[in-house]
Order: sequence, then structure tokens, then C-alpha cells
Amino acid sequence: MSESHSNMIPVFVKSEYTYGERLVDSSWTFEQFSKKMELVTGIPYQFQNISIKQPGNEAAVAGTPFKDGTLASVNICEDCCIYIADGRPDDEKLNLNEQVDRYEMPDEEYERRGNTLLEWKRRNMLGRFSNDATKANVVSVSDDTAPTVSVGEECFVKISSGEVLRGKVAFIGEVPVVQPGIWVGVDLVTADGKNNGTVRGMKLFETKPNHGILVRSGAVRAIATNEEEL
Amino acid sequence: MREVISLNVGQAGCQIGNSCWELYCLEHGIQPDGYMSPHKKSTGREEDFSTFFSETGSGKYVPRAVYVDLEPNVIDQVRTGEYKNLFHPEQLINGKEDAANNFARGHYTVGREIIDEVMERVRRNAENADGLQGFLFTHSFGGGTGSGFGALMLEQLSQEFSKKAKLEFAVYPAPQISTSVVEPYNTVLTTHTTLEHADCTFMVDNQAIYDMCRRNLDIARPHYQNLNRLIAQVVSSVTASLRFDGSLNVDLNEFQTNLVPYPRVHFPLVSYAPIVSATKAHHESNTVAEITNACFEPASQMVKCDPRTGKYMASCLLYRGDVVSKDVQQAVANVKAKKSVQMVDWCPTGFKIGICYEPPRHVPGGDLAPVNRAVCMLSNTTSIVDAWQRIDEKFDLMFNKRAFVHWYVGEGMEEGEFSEAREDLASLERDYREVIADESFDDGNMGEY
Amino acid sequence: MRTAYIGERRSYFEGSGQRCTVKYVGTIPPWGSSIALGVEWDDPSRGRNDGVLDGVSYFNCCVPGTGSFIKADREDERKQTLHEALSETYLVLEDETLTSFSKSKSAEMYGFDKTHAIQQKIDKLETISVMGCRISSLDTTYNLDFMHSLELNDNLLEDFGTILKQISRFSNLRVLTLNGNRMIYNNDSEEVNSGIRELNMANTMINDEQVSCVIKAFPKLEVLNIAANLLTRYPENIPTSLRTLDLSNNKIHTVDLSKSSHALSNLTLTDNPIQNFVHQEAKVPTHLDLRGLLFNWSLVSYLGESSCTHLSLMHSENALEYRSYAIARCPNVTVLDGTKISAEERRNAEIYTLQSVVQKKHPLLPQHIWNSLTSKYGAPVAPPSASIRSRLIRFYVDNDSNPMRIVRDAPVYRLYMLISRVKNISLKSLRLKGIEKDDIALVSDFIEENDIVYTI
Repeated sequence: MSESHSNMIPVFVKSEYTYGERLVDSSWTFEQFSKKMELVTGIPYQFQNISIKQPGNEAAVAGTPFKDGTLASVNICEDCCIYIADGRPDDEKLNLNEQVDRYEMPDEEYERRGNTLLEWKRRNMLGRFSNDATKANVVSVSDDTAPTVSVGEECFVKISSGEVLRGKVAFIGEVPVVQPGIWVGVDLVTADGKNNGTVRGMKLFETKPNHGILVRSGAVRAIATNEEEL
Repeated sequence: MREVISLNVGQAGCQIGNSCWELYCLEHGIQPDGYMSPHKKSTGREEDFSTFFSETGSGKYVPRAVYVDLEPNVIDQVRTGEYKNLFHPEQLINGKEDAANNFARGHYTVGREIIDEVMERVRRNAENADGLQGFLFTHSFGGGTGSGFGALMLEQLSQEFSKKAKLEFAVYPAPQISTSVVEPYNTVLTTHTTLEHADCTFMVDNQAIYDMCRRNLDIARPHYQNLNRLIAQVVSSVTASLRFDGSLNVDLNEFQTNLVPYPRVHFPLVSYAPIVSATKAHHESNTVAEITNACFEPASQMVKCDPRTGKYMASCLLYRGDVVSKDVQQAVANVKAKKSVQMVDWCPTGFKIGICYEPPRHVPGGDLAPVNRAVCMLSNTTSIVDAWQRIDEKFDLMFNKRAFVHWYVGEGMEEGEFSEAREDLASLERDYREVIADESFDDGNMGEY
Repeated sequence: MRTAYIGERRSYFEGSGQRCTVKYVGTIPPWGSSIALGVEWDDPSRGRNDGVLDGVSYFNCCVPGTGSFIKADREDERKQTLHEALSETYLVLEDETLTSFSKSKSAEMYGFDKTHAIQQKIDKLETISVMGCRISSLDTTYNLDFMHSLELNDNLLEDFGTILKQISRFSNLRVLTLNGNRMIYNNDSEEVNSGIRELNMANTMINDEQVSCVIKAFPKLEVLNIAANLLTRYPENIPTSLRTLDLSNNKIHTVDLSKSSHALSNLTLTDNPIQNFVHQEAKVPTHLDLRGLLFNWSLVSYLGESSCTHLSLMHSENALEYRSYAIARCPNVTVLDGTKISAEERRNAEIYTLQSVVQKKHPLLPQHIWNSLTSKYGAPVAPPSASIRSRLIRFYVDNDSNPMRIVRDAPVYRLYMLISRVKNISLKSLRLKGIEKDDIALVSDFIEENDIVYTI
């Protein structure tokens, strides 16, 4: 690679609210540099207290306002860290730690605007604006036949991917927070489940994280005697 | 021929561009001087790198690219760097005065001075193409040139090349670390200006990438080059099917068709796996199931947000390398069973899986280990609204006090533009919420909790 | 039902296949006369015991807790030959529409027909991966002359000697990956494979003897990965061609680099309980990864002046100062923990470290490093006495009549190293009465001239 003729040096610039790798020119004066850093740090250049930490030297150079001279005069080098502190009185400093209520567009305003997704959905009759959206969501209580397993029994569970997992029956009963009917909770041998025994805030049984799964009884089968294990 | 012109704008855009072209060259066997490597082995498979490189009469390959920066330093580094002979001098354009992190300087004052020259160069590149597909932007949202000048270029391109696709890779402000205090202003202003002009924008947040470098690649103190090389692998995966004999997203327009149900909602989340260092690579098998699963982990995402809290409008899984359909089916079934992947039902877009037989290429001396297969996931999920809410909140905190607004007014902007841009972003937040307004979160559950 | 045998590799279908090794065949009291199999599962989270039932030990487990007894008549999954696995993997093109994701969504696959057209010409493939395919034998009638890399992770291969014979047919094979297989290694195997350049055998639970048997079979090896195994020492018969060696995540306590190959340039020792690092007259690899190693400054100093240029330590305590000190002690290192050391950083780190030494914040540097740094930057204020003689303490160990000497302000760790070497006690088991094995405190904090140090 040929020698670059620019004096640009990658350094890190840090201030109370900002941090980033930047290219600086070692022939810049500190005043030039400070002016460039105004919009970066949010501190007017006259009030910037600059200190420099050279890489490898953990004792940072104390906050001297290097107003005269160039960056080269203080040995600005690759990877050094330039700290910029705000020298203004506290009440004049920029404070970005306040809590602010983010502006959210009110319903009426959003409804009124053109060129929104809402307007487009309405126009194209999509989602809740489609003709068949009014149909009631019929919950089919399909598979709640009486389970053939009992709590404490070892079992295999067939999950929706088609995989069969090994576990122990930990719960049988109704779970109103999901859907009506009888459910079977299983404590799996491996962490391939979806819960820890608590489903939608309702504690049904207890397992290690992701070792629990709640399924319909048809998906569970007891382990045959030749599959027993000690 | 279906040419794609890359436009690398601003410091971040140019530096990411450098890493991308370094990788493209390796992948296609092109040397830093633009000539085909004599060692390049013919794989017997189709390659269509003429989409990204033009061939000169002398057998030299030149990237279809334009580099722009308002100040000379970064471009000077390209002019004097290892790849200086790869580019034609006309492709590298810089001004004299930087945008000073100010959208208004990039967009109005300083930017105006070179926009005509830049557009002229872009036009010349476009004329050099038989069947231009469109443009691929790399820039940052937070910097002055990337945000301001990038938006200006997109506006002009949109007028002149309205039918051509315009895709962006954009560095998005990280949630905790700001590179400058005015980053939220620049981001909101550029997003508002380009919302109508860009077809699809892939966002990358430096903090997410930084964490990957530290966590997965064992780099004590990552530099931009480490971050950019990682980003380049991702960009390369996204563009692989344009350059090799791919199958999904073989055309820039397809990204929009496959991922964007409604034009404003065009910011897919990008994930990539495996991200492993040379020393860790040996411990893992990197099977199709493992890399697919990893793609659904937050640690693989290029932007910090939680997809479990949202729904997917569309998703593309792009595999590279030695991957067979049987394994993909099994892997996707696994993910479906174990992860909460909820799809929005009314969207015309869906879940698509593509493959390109070319494996990812290892950059010699790079941080990533050589691997036989990789996967990149592009998913348009409503959870990316988290990123917009974060930046909107930071914008409000400053704009309520009118902090730094005078810097923008001083460059010819009006305060009204700030309010207008912010309104537009608030509307974008509402758009995301409207996507799932009529969806219940039980859909798709096969009776399993 | 096939009869099981000791050492047999089996897979039982429990969702995904659970692989195990049969370690006991016979009766156990709880099951009366029916035959039980004692198995060790590959999955470390599977299993119920260590092969012990009601106080009776039936077999041993390499990984604690991975043993189980299962019924012999439980049906295991069918094993495959490489041929069957290749056909199943590369000749089948699945339907491109996947199962539905939700009410109206299904996943669609694109272009797999194209890759399938490439992949189904198995005899032309350069990279072949058949991982987790229950392969027990490498029989195949496919001509695999183009095959350059073969990944056989997580299969049911049993005998390493047989595998060696079988792969010798693959004339172009250079990269072989066997991670996750648990095999039997017969020392009498005379088979030698000169084709393979890269061998990956991570997580195969091999021990020192088995590694040595493996290495013998591959005289032209350039890359060897035997991470996540049961090694306790640095392998001895490393081929001279070896360039890259990954030993991370083993149980290695002694590393003797003098037994290493001259070509070795890349060595990873991450996550090993290393106590002894013997490096006399050895060529140190240029890339060395020692993260997670018991940390001591004299080792860092040694490495930093060797031929090592890329060093990874990632010592977490005092992360900032650590980096400066390490740089100062390692004049030849150019990349530390993945990050390049710039000239300016080196200069600053060296000056900073000199000051820290004078302020006793950091242990003394080796004399010649001290000399070279002070000649570069001048002596820092209040330099310590340059004469080594005046810095020595004489002391006795136990009832030995011969005194030992050690530098007064050396870290206590060095005292331990010294006594461990002289008394030939392993560093791990060595304890000195009243002196904690602490690498911050100095020798002079504990002993004075002519003191007696007692080992426990």
C-alpha cells in the first residue's frame, strides 16, 4: 500500500453524550477542531475542555484547554481518546438525561392524513376492512379427548414441528387463559419447550426455563415399557 | 444484462463501500488492480458479476460504483490505498468542505455545490449499462454528508430514474452510544426526505455490530474496519443472488416485492449467521439447523429490537453454500416450533427461502472464520418500530428546547421542516402499529404454548 | 432385535436422534432377567447417572451424569452407510412449499432445484457434509475423487482404524471433519493417510493416548483441531508440517512447546487449566491464543520476546492497565487481543509501565526489558536498584540445607514456580505455609533474609 499524503488520524472522541471513532487532521488547530466538534458534542467551542488520553497510557492528560497550537503539538496519534467536557455552568449545560414524553400522533390526526397505511388498507379492503373480517373468530375446541397419561408419568410429546420430545407429565387440566378444553403440561428432558410451567401469567407447574410445554392430550403418549430408563 | 450501480456516500458509506468491494473482488477472483486473478479456478457455475463490474477493452474490471464525500480525506484514502487502481478517477468525487455533521449543509448549502457533478458521473455510469436495474446506496443516517447529501442524491435519482430500484444500506444510530448529539435530527430529517424515494432500506446499528465483534470475534477494541468487514459480509450475502446464479431476489426490484407490503414500511431487519472467529469456528458444526436457529436470536441482528414483541410481514432467508433442501425444511420447522414467529395475515408478502451455491468468502487476515455455509435473514417485522421510537424520543428531547436548531436554520433550513419531518415519523410509527391493529396474537398457534 | 455390544454406537429417536455409546450389556436387579443396556449419551444434558445403580458400578462415563440404563429391546434408529446418507442428503429434492406458518402463510423455497442440479452430481462435489446422519460405515460406491472436504460431524462411526482404511480411497480428500463422533482407537493400526492436511476432531472425547494414535496416522497434517476433548498434556508426536493447532477447552495442565513442530504458527490453548508452560529453547508460534489461562506476568514477558506476534490473553482484571503492561512486556507482539498495537500506543504503554514499576504498581520487568526501555526513554524517577544481587533474598525450603534465592520484589507466584521446579512438586498441589498463591503480592511481603519456607 502506498503512503497516504493526508494527515488524517483515526481517534476516538468522547463527551458526556457521545462517543465515536473519527478522522482528525493533525494540522488542525485546537480551535478548528473544537468548532468541528460543536455539533458532535453539543458544546460551544469556547466552553470545550479538552483532555487527551494516549493509547497505552492510562493516566489521561488533565483537562487543559489546548486552545493554541495544532493537534500535532500534543502528539495526537492513532487510537488516542479525546475527551471533551462541558465547561459551562451546570444550569447552562445541555441536559439529555431528562425524561420526555415522545410525541405520538393522535388517532384523529392519523385518520385525517393521506398516504398512510391505514388509508391504504381501507382503500384496498385489507385486514379488518376486508369483507370476511366480520366473521366471528370461531374457536375450535378440537382435540381435548381424555388424556391417556397421568401426572408424573414419563411420556413422549409430538410438537408442531413434528419432532418428538421426551419428558414427564406435570399437569393435566383446563387452562382458561389459553383456550377451552383439557391441556397437558410436560416437563421436557431438553430445553426445547416454550415455557417454565407458567403460561400467560398462570402457573400450572414448574420446570427449568424452556423445559415446559403445554399441548393437547392427543400429542402426548406414555412411554412404553421397553422405553423405560434408569 | 442487469447492472447495479453502488453509491457510497459520506465517510461511513465510503468506508463500508471499501470493505464491500474488497470482498466482491475476492469472491469473483478479481485482483486489487482490476484484472482477473490468474489463479481463479473455474467452478463451471454461472457468475454474473457484470451486474457489479464493467469490463474494459483491456480485460480490466471496474466496479460500477461512485464514491462521494463532501470532504477529501476519506476519498483520498481510496485514491492512495490498495485498491486505487481498481477505480477510475472519475468515480471518486469529493468536495472541499465537510458537512460538519449537519444535515442542512449536506442537503442544502455545501451539498448543492457538487450535486450536479455527482449526478453527471452517476448518469455516465448509467449510460454505460444496457439494462440498469437500479442503485445500491451505502450511507449513514447520523452524519451530515450521509444524511443530507444522501437524501439529496436520492431525491434527484428519484426524478431522473423513477423506474429504477433504489436500495439502501444505512448505518442507523445505536441505542446507547450516539456518535454526535445531532444524530437524531439528521436521522429524522433524512428518513423523512427519503421515505418516498427509497424502495427498501436495510439498517445496521454500529453498537449491534460492535457487540458481535467483541462477543463472537474476540476483538478487544473493534475499529471501524472490523465493523465494516462484518457489514460487508452481510451486504455480500444480500447481493449474492444478484452476482451469482441465485434464485430469490435476483433482481433489485424483487426485494421490494418480497419484503415491502406497503411502500412506507420498507425497513427490514437483517440477521446473519454464523458470526464466528477462526478459533471458535472449530467447536461448532454450523449445520443448517444451527445457523438458521442463530438467525432468530437477537445476538445475530444488525439492529437492536425484539422481534418476539412484533409480527412478521415478510421474511427472506438467504442461504449460501453447501445447503440442501431437506435440511432447510427441517430447520425451518424447528424454528417455527420453538420460536415465536408470528406472521401478519393480511399482507400479500410472505416467507421465502432462497439459496445460492457459492459459499461466503473468507477475507485473508479478517476476523471471520472460513465457513462452508451461511444464512442471512431479511425480515420486515413490526418490532423495528422500537428503533424509530428510540430516535423520535431523542429528537423530541432536543427539539422541545430547540437545541442546535439554529445551526440548521443558519444553513437555510426552516424550523417548520423539523416539525414536518417529525410528524412524518410519528405517522410512520402509526403505520407500524396499524399493520397489526387487526391481528390477534394467537394466530398460527397450533395448540401449543 | 439386533444384539448390542460394548462400544456400539446407537441413536434413539427422541425428537431428534439421541446418540449414545453402549458401555454395558447385561441384567440389572430392578429389571429382573430382561437385558439392560448401560449407555453414555453424547448430549451432556441427557442421562441420569454415572453408570452406578444402587451402589453397584456397571460402567464409567467420560462426562459425569451422562449415563442411563435402557431396555435392550427398545428400538434404536437404523444406522446408515455413507452411501445411503449421501443419497438421502444430495439426491432428494424436497417439495418447495413448506408447511404453513400461520392461517394463510406458507414458506416457499426458491432455487433449490438449481443447487440440487449441482449437488446431485455427487461424484463432482468438492465439499460434502453429512452431519447427524447416523452414519456407521463409510461404504459407498460413489466415486468421490473430486471430494476435497468431508464433514462427518455427529455420526455413529465406531472404529477409527476402519475409518482410516475407508478414507484412503478418497484420493483428493484434504479436509476431514469428525467432530462429535465417539470412536474406538486401536494402537495397532498401521494405516497412514498422507492426503489429509486438515483434521477436525473436536468433541470426540479422546484422551492423550488416543490423540497420539490419531496423529501418527496423518503425517502431512497442517491443521489439527482437537478442542473440547480430554487431553491433559500437550501432544508429543506433532507432525513437522503442522501449522495450526487448536487445543482449546481440554484439561491440559502442562504445555511443552519444545515438543512442538517448527512450522507451528498458530496455537490456541483457550480454556485449559494450564499450570506449567515449558518453553525452553522452543520456537513459539506467531499466533498464540491463551485466553482463560492462569495468568502470570513472567509468562507474558517470555512470550512477548519470543517469535509470537499475535497474542490473545484477554485478561479481564484491570483491563486498561493490563493492556499497557502487556504491551511493554512484549516488544515483539504487534497484535494484542485482536487489536493492532500502534507505534504511539506502544510508546505510551512502555513509558506508563516504567512509571508503574517505579511506583510499585506493577511487578519488576525482566532486566533486559528494563534496560532497553530505560535506554529508550531514560530512567523514570526513583529507579529501583539496578543490581540484581542487592535485590535477592536468600531463604531455605523445609529442612533443605542449600539456600535458594529469589528477587525480593518478584510476585509471590514466581516463588511458587521456583519451589515447584526445584522440589519437583506440581504447581497445582504446591502450598506454602502462610503464603497465599497470589500474583499481586511481592515475595518481600512474606519472607526475609534466611527465612525458612515450609511446604504443606
